[in-house]
Amino acid sequence: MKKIIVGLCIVVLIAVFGGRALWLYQHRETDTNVVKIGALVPTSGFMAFEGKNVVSALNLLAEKMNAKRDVKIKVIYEDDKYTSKDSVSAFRKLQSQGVDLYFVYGDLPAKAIVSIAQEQKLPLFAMAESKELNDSPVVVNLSPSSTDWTDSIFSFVNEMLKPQNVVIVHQKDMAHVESTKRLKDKFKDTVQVINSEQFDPNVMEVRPLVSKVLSYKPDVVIVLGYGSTYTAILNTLREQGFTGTIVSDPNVSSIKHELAKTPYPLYWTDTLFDDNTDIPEIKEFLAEFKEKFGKKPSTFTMMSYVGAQALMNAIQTAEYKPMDIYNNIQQTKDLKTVLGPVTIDKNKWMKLPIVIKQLQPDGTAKIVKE
Amino acid sequence: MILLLQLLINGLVQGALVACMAVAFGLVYRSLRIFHIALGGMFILVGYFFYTFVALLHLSTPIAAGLTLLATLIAGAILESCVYYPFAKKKSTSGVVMLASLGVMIIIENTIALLFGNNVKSISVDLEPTYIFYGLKVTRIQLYEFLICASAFVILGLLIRKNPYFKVAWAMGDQPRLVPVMGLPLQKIRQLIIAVSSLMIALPAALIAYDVGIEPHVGMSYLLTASVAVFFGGIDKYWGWGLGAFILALCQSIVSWKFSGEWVSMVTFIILIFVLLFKPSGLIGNSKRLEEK
Repeated sequence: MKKIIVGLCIVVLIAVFGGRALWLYQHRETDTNVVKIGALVPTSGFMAFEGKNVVSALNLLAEKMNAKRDVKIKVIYEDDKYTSKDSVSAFRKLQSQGVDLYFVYGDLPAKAIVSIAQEQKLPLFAMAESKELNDSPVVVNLSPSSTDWTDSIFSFVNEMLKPQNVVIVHQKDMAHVESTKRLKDKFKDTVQVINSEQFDPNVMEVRPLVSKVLSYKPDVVIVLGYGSTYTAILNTLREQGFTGTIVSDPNVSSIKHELAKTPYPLYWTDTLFDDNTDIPEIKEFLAEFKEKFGKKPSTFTMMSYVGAQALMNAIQTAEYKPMDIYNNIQQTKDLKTVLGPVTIDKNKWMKLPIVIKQLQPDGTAKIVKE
Repeated sequence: MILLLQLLINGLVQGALVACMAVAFGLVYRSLRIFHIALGGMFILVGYFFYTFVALLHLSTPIAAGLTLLATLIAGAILESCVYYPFAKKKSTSGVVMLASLGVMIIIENTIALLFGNNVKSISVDLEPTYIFYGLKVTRIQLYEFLICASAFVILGLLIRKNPYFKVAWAMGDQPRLVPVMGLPLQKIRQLIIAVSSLMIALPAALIAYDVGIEPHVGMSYLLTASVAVFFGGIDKYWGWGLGAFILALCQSIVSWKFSGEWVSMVTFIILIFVLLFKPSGLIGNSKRLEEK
């Protein structure tokens, strides 16, 4: 009797596991109908907050694309911790998993892996700002360049504010140094006095720096950077009595609720995205994102979503071969996205509508220049 | 001239904050011989305790400050009884304890990032009232920072000279085994040191969090500044820690003025290397006798 029961159990187990294996075999995703995108995203470390949002955006988009099409997109994530060393090891790990395309978030990880990608002719789709990345023949940049942000700041300040004395306070990293240099070159002919000061993001005591900035007696201060020191500089300028205009970059959008409310003007360059928007496409996306992930996306989440949207659009129209996708994405022109029409220009940069916003007394943003 | 004076004032305020942090680090290092890296984690904890009480639970600032001090004391007691004391009982080497302390710091940093996210949290988004004396600007929070931290530093300095418990704690760093031999309560003295260190980090951390906000990754940079101030002033000299802190803060201010804000971190380490190479006993530390070396 005991032997019969044991035998029956074995038969049942074989039937269950065998059946499951057969089902999986029949429903397996063959290499030909799955495009694997390897995404290097910081899901830990100081940039994890953005990295996790980017993962959510990519998942949402992949889910939508997979519901519509026979050929599936599979995104494999590796945490690069936003450091060069971890980016290289994460990239190698993705390579070992047979990834077709590489998506990388941020300047630092993109720069860390670009030489390997170039050596092995692997297409790299970067969400980065630094223009030196685009010299590589394997990189397409899926976010606006630092030049675009900088030029929008310049044209706004120059045309609307017409200042005489400008100080640029910027973080000491490659992208912000490039932007400052470009701004200084552009302002050279129109502004009488132009000074710049760098700040170290590890130093929270910003009053000496702000005192020095104010000693130049500027009418416009342009602040470029991110993180706590950047936020402290924006607040300390007002606290130390600066009543002129502050102009900044898209990072204001994620910290605007942490800024002191003053009657003096603060402007920043940004995309059309805003959490209090009237634009129906963005409203719809916001509702969908919030329902699925229980939080609001940031500007950078939206830009990752739109960048990935251009990439997935190129996958659809190429025959799933990495270099075809790389070539195809460069043909992107006026692609309809939640952030407006998107084009990849001849320098392999993404172009999307950039606006200037002003901080309102209630902490919301208002578009003042399109 | 006005700018130089303004920078000196800012340096004095910053010096008072660093002096308190230096005491928090120096007390543990001098008495327990622990390179207290977890202090960076305690700094972050204090900031987030204060943020939770003020910005999330909407308690009044004085009540929130009191609760923050209490929560920090509890966190310090947990650190001592769950990490430092068990290692001390096992007679672990200082390297092992330092690694454990670093582990605590990383755990705190990551847990906070997980719970609150990595972005900056501001406790107060209102502009601080600014007082202007002959063109020199001082904000209300800067006045509080200077008065509270400088007073705490001076009061504790006097206590260390007069109070027998503190005297024993100070001596413990030189002869730790004599404490139980003399029948003194070793565990209580250790708890006292950790408690005072926790209070001394709580004051500047809460004030800084209120002033410029807090994020989970700032602890290490404050810890480094505090430890440099201790080595700069002289490990065995309480008042030297304060002097080290003020000189360090003033140097940082002046570097920011004469050169650029980007060199501020570097100057801290140039000072540290200079002191370690040419005056290892610190600015006002006594040189050791040949047989002590």
